[in-house]
Formats: sequence, C-alpha cells, structure tokens
Amino acid sequence: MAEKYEAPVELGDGVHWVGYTETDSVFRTNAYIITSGDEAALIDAGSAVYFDSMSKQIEQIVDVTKINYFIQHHQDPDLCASLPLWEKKIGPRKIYAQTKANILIWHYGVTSELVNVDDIGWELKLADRTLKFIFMPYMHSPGEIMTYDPKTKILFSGDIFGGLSMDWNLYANEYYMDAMESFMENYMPSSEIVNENLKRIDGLEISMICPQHGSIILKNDVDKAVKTLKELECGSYLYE
Amino acid sequence: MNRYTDIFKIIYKRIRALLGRDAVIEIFSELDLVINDSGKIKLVSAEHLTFEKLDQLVRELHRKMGPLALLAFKIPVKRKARRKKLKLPDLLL
Ligand SMILES: [Fe+2]
Ligand SMILES: [Fe+2]
Repeated sequence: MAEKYEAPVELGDGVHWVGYTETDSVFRTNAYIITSGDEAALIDAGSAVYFDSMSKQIEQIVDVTKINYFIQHHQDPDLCASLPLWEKKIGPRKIYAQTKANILIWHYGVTSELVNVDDIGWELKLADRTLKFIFMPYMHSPGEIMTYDPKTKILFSGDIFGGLSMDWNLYANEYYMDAMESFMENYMPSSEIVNENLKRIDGLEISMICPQHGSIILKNDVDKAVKTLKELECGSYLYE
Repeated sequence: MNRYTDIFKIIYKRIRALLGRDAVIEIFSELDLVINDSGKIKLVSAEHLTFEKLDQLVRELHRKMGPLALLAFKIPVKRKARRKKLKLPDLLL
C-alpha cells in the first residue's frame, strides 16, 4: 500500500517535496519547490491532471504568486502540462530549460519567458543560493538537464534515478534499486549514453537524489544508485 | 536448475519492487509458486517452473494490473530468454 502524504515534506533548507497526494498511479510524479528570499522556484511543475492537488500542497508552504521560476528538466507532459494552468493562476513567469526542451515546451501554449539554461551559463541565481544545471543529453530527452543545489547538496534528477512503483514510499526502501531499474531500462536509450553522462556527476557531493518519479534516494544509497545505473543494460536489448 | 528459474526470479524481484513484498508473495502462492524470501530468493517449488506456469503468471499479472505490470520486467526477461533460447508467453513478445 502506497504511503500517502497530504502535506509538503521539508527536505532541506528552503526545499520541499510537493508531489501529488493521490496514491492510485504506478507513474506517480514528484515536484519540488525551493523558496529563497522573497521568491520561489518550482521544479518539474507536473501534470495537468494533478494540478489541483499539487497546487494545494504548494499553497501550504508558499504564496504561489512568489513562484518566479519553473525549472523543467525536459519537455514531457507529466512535468510540463500544468504550466498553462499555473500561468492562468499566477500569470506568466520564467521557464528554465535547455534549448532543445524549450523549443518543445513552447507548444504547450505557454506565455512565460523561455530561458535557455545553456545560453546563460547553466545556473540560476536565487537570493541565498545559485542553482547549477547539469546537461544529461538523451537521458531520456536530447535536452535533458538535472539541477544541483549547492546549499543543500540535493540533486534534482528529473527522470534519471526514477522508479516504477505502486507500493510507493517517499524515501527509497530496500527494493528501490529494482524499481529504478524497471523504470530506467524502459526510458534510457543506451548504456553508453548513461555511463558517459554519469561522469558529469562524478565527485559531486550529494546529500540526496530527488527524482521526478519514484522515491527520494538518501545519501547512504547514492553510491549504490549510481553504480546500479552504470551497470544497467539498456537500449541494446532491442538488437540482440 | 530448471531453465525458467532465473526468469521467475526476475519477475519476482521486479513485482516485489512494484507492489511490495506481501503482495508479490500472495500472487505467487495463488499459483502454487512457493517463495522463500528470507535473504536470497529461493523458488521452493522447482517442478512448477515451466513455460505453462510462466504463461499463467504473466496472464495473472496482466489481468490484475494491466500492461504496466509487464513493463516492470519485460526487458530483462526478454533478454534472459533470448540468451537462454527459451520460449516466452505471447504477452511478452
Ligand atoms: Fe520523461
Ligand atoms: Fe517523467
């Protein structure tokens, strides 16, 4: 039976999990919000289907009009379809994504300014921290990015490190590596691409990994999760 | 060792992560597949690990949870079956 969270969960200084509260989906999504000074950044805004429950969660911790930034790790509907609804609620803001993702995010009919993170030095300065964007091309989208918060050392990983689970827990349990393999091998294009990209987080101090699907991976399991991904056989099964 | 043992083990592990330990043990035992899941996974009833039983298990998972359940294990099962030259149920082709 999946865990049910009715309220946001604080993960670190100014960082909250605000995923949706319904427990009926194998493909449930997580979103995260960072509040900093007098503004906030919403990470992977979410699906249109769960907009009401997610926005109610967010309202519990921040005045939603303070959200100035939507950080979108790629263009899929499970993280972008709510963007027009957010704009209707709070007006246009700034959408941060890689160029190849923003080109497609435009097709949701958004009116926010599309900021290409690759054009502005791969970072977003907030009042008390500067978020760093890490390019992870083709994992699974050509414009995929992750976001690293140097203040809390949290890595927001988008679909990467995501898991497939109906027996959902906010924090990864002893079976999460299997759940992660189930998800990742269905969405990642090849072991070569996965391994090449994972070099970009080598040596990065990570306090936890917060994916858009599945469970949060705490510090003790970070190395195991990276190793699991490095060894994951994906893509080539199609051609054997 | 029965040729299908590894495939049953893969399905067990993936469905355990998807639905939880109690749920997967229940599904397996309904099909007379007895699991010892204390530490290393052990399929006790080796004589049951046949193609017909696999077909029954896959159909049951599909009936209960639809195609998403199969997504959780289809790729490694297909890979293993191809390497061992084993026949797979239609739902996994
Ligand atoms: Fe995606
Ligand atoms: Fe996703």
